[in-house]
Amino acid sequence: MLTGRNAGKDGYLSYFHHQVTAIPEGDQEEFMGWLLPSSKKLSFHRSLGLLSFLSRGKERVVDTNTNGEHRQFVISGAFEDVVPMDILPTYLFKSIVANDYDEMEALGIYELVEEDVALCEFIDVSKNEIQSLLREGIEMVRNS
Amino acid sequence: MKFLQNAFDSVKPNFEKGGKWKKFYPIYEGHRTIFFKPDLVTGKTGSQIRDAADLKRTMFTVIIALIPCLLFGMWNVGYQHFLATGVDATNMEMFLIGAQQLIPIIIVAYAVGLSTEFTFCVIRNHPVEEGFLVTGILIPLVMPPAIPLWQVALATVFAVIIAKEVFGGTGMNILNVALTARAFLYFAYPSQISGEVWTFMGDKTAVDGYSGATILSYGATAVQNGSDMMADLGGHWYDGMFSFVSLFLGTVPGSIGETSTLMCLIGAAILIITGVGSWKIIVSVFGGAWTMGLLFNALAVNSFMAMPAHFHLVIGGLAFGAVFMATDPVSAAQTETGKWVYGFLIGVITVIIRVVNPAYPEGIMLAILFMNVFAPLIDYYVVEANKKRRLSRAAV
Repeated sequence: MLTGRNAGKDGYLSYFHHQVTAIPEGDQEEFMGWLLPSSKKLSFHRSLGLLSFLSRGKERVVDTNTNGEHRQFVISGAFEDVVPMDILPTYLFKSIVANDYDEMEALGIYELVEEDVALCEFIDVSKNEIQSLLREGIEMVRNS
Repeated sequence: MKFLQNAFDSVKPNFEKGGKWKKFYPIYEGHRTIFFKPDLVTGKTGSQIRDAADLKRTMFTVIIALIPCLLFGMWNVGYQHFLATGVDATNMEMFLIGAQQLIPIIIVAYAVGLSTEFTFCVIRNHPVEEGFLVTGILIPLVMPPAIPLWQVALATVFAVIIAKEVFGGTGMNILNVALTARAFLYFAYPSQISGEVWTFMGDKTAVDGYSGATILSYGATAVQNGSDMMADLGGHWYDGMFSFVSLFLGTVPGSIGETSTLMCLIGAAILIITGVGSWKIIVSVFGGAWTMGLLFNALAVNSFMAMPAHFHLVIGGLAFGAVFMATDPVSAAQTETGKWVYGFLIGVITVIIRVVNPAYPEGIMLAILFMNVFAPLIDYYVVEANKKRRLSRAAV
């Protein structure tokens, strides 16, 4: 779910797949969905109205809605909480965006694969596609 | 809510490719996403589920945290008005006259700011971003109550364009947008943003002996005349105006939202509990100001330096700046260690500007803008330290 491929309705599995998860598609709008308080929505953050932190153990239904649009990186300090390594994720991601090879290496891109930053992608308030970004960076330094 | 969706759907073709207003797509999209959480889904690869928090909700949390300051500000504008004109009034009357003065300022800030923002979104073809939701309410709160509306409009346009859009919009700005608006007025129209502007009078005349001086101008005067500041305060036309308690509660003249340290602390509690504002920055700004205050106490060359250090925490806009301005995640330091340094230096510089430079009675605005510029430098050294640490661990 955190690092996966959307196989789609008529999709197929290949040799390397070893798990199938079916989750509802979130392709519908929700009235005032960004504002109304709810304890049903799963969130790492505690922003206004997101009450899931009060009952962490409860099971929740999650769908594929992104719960917001793509934005620039704004919030600081959250990624560091979900990356166990001594790495500064935001700076690493920004160096990939900037195609800065030296910076990527110095900030530890060799220590990471997609799965390591899957939680960053999940919690990102700005809805960036961080795993594909990281892969882009890895390919960049590999092919350089 | 089907009818709203239908209404949006019916105008949608006009804004899409080939439609007659396709240039204005960001405006259509901006409005639709206010009413509806968009129907976007996660990509083919990567994380298939996403956190429920988005930037809109995060920004809205800040607005909620500002409400105590806003409501108290309305009441205080009225309270100061009736105090200065010597009229007895009920709390409701005070609140209403404050609202009457404040609401036009808020409307102007939002209307002008959002128009500028929308114009830029159309020209640059990027989605309407949430940053201005907060900026639009912060700008009125850092203005004096008697500010002319055209100045609010001018400052807002200047701030949105020069401080934000030229850098690429929300998330890219170097300086805090609301403080840029205030700094613009501060240097462009100094006569209207300092001196006797802190009390709104309307067409009424003030009582005998009235002075709109804030405690900071008392300090500046005391430094210049070599008089005893605390004794001067005791001689204020309204007895007990500048006691520690009323400074803490905020029943003093000043910018609309900044006077009450108590309300700022309520806002700070909301920001910290929701995790939207960094407690490290808030704590370290107060810590820095207090430390510098103590240091000046030890020197005590003039009476402003001898003012008890804890007064620095409740006078002027320090609390408001620490809680709502310094914590702006975009313009603040972005590394956790950097936040401590950034906040501490803001506190220190604020008190230095206040006490040492009599030309600028209040220092928090300049201190935050100054540290906004230096935040990347602080982060640079934190990042370099991280690189070195990791390199030393690598066994190559």
